[in-house]
Amino acid sequence: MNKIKVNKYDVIVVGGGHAGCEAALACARMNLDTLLLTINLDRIALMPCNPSIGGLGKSQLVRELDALGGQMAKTTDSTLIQIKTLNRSKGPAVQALRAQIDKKEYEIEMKSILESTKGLELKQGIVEKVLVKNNNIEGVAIDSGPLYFSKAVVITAGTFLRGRIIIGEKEYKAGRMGEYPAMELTNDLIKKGFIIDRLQTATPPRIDKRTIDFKKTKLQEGDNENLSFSFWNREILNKNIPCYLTYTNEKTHKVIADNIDQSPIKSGMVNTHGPGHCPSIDRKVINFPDKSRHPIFIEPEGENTNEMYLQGLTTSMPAEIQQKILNTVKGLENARIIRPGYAVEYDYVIPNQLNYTLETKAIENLYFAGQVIGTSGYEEAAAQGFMAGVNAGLKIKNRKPLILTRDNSYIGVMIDDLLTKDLIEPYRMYTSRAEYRLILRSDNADTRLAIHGKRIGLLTEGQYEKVLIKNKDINELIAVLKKIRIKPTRIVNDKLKTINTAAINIPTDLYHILKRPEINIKELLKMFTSNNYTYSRQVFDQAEIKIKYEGYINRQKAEIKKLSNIENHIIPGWLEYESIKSITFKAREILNKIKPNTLGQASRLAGISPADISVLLMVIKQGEKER
Amino acid sequence: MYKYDVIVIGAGLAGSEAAMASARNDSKTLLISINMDNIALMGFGNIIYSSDNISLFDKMKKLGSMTPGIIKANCLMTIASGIDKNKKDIKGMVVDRKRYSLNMKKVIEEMNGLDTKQGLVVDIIKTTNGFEVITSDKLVIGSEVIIVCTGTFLNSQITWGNNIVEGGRPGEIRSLRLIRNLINMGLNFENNHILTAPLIKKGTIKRTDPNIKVIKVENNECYIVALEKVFTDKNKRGIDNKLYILPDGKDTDEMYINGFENKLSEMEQIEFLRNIKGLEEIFLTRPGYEIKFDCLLPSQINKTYESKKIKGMFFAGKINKTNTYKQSLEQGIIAGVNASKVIKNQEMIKSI
Repeated sequence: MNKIKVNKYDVIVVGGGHAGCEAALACARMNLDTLLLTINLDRIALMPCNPSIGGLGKSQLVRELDALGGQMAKTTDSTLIQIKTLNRSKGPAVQALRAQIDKKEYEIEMKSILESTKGLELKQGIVEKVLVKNNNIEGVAIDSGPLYFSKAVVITAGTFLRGRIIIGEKEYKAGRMGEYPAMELTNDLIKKGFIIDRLQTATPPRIDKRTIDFKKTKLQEGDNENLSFSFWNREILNKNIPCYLTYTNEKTHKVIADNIDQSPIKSGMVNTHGPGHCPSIDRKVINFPDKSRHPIFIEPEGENTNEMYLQGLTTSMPAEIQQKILNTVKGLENARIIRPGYAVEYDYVIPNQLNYTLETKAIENLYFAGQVIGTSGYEEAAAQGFMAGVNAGLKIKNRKPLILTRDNSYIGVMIDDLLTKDLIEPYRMYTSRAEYRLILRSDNADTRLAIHGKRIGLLTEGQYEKVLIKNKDINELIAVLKKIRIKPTRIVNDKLKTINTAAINIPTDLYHILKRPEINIKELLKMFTSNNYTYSRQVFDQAEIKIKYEGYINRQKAEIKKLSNIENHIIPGWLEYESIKSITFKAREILNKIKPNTLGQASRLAGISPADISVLLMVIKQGEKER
Repeated sequence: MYKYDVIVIGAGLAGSEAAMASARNDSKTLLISINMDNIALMGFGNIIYSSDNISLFDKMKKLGSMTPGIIKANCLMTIASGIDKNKKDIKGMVVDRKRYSLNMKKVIEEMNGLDTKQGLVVDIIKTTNGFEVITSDKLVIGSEVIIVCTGTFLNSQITWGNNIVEGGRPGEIRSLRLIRNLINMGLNFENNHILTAPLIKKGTIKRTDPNIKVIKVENNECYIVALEKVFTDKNKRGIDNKLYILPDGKDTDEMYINGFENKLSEMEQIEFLRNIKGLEEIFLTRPGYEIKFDCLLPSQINKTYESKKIKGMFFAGKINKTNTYKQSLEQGIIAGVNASKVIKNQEMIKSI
């Protein structure tokens, strides 16, 4: 019998957001018959919040996904309207790419890619039940009746499980503004024994571009070069459409304070936890009364729309008050809201019910990924969706699962965090969550992970070959630099002077000269060799980082190793968390509240990352030395 | 409180046209929609029928409408599709649904004197010199004239097989409170229903089968499939003994089966199609369905599309039991022009 006729698949993905798209594409590309079910086929890969992809911590996720054979980086590259490197002046560990995206083009392109992928079917339908037999998944039932059978199911329901929208004192059921939520699936999951809780997230208002006085704002342009997220295709068109920066002021804060009783966070309409990393403007004003201004970035929602997104002005206050708040801001005095901001509250499956493959412990071959397990962000969702899809596929094929670790990827850090920590708010990736962040850089995701991409069959031989060559080139280049020695002659020292670096007094190789922070690899080579090295920019960059930061990287590794012995390390009374700026605000808050006695105790507090512990250890040691 | 000359509720084909016409005629206009992502989104297939689109489009252009140009720019192909009762060929323009919506949104957003806003209107209050519109998020907006173009969203329900879901279109919330409000104002409504056809995945059609006639226009293809007998839905509304499988857009693989408007269960729809030569392996991406919704009893409006009972309140599109996109466009433009005539105290038009 025809397999389609009996609705039989290898994998069924529930949900067509960023997690669902990656999960479905990964499975289909692993030659598995895959079905993606979504409530509305006009809403594939919708970006309901910010019109950007990447950023600190997140860009590493996108790059890692790309190195493993995921899709997000490619679609980002082909639909971006601006791209820039963040923290360019800082160290390579915290540098990141961020792109502004044309949201509608992203949706259209992603749908088109899904549709043209062999072995993948898209279908509109609301999943109401998962079919389970002997603790093993068998498929799903959709609202209109038909049953769909499969060997594995990946649920990526986003904010749609019993979604409830809150704006001011109003609330109604919706997964996103104007869209119906999934009301039945939660009950079924509870019946099957899953523990469900509620989380909340919110989005700022969108305003009419024509009503903004751009002269009063600061222009925020992208980089004037064609940077790309994907390692595999670097031909991109950067339209460099700008964003703008303005600030809230005392007047803004007064309007908020005067109306704070109407804020859902105060009135008790929202009592679930929202994303602390992206607090609403109401919360910011409550929590930071001393701050006289907060930045607002005005970002285009696309190339062909007048709607502008206001990053930093998230609120679910009544629409009228949102308008008042807005009009106190410089440049936005006459701005008009097109879509008011709102909050959405939804069910999520507490992620400690999952294994490292994102398969549930209770039901075999059932996987969860994305916002439905309490995370936040397109990038986080996509990375988890990919991992769940890949592992569902590998298990069907009786192959070894793909489990990434804290020391090889941000994806590994994220999944470990999700499984071991209590979520107190939607989980978002930061560089500070990773203890090996000098090693887990955005630029070297391919050299770290391509080997896994090749094993699971989502990278081609050609792509993998490219990474091998890149690695070989980097090592070759480092060897070259070690080999070339310069002598402390007057000519040499005069040359060094021209690049503003100190003279040498003993013969030194270029490798050691390059360790000086002011030295640039290409300049150095040009100055002291006649050879014209034709390595790619990525090879030069990585060789330079490897050499410059070798000491730090090794020290970090050693420091992390010592972490296993931190358990009984006493936290001295003189330690002031307030003064430690290199741990997150959240961490400082928690540590101040709990005041743990030992580093071991601190490390187990929810919201404290191993990276925070490593910083604490360093500060304590330094302080002990000084005392 | 915000004040406009004209507020248009609903941003489908009629609402978009009304809002643009009103703004073009110097009325400060606000267009409100439940979801700003769905401006001018076609919900019932993507073909604009006409034996005389040309004359309608010419008339619209004369009134300054940019819509004919946008339809043309996003028209995938024009086909002779179907034969009406009088055995006349019906011409149809197959429009790229998503691109058309995005294009309309861009033009609307850039238009002078026209604002857009996302919101669900829950109340309309008649005041001494106009109306106050109240949205679910408690915004109060005033206007002199109102044009109601709520399409299929009033009190609507979607059915196929035994499945009943709420919604103005699948997955989209409906409007429940506004209808009570309009009834309280003395307007009478009745239930109406429209059928829509399923969408299928292009790659699963056997395009080499002799039963499938492939029509290729530039880069677009549509398929004409012969049926052994005329397909009649439960309303006995047989149209033709052919199905017209039309592309939904240039970026997508989904195709709309024009002629198979029905509310059979999903399995029955699949079964019916797979029994047709050439469609034995088709994959259904979205089922056809029936949408039931409330619309105005037609005797309550003038030819100007103004309510006889409530001066300054106009109705256009599917709320008037209109069946075709063409009628929605025509009513939208007349209502929009007349709204501005009310503001300027000029004589209204009854046709274009």
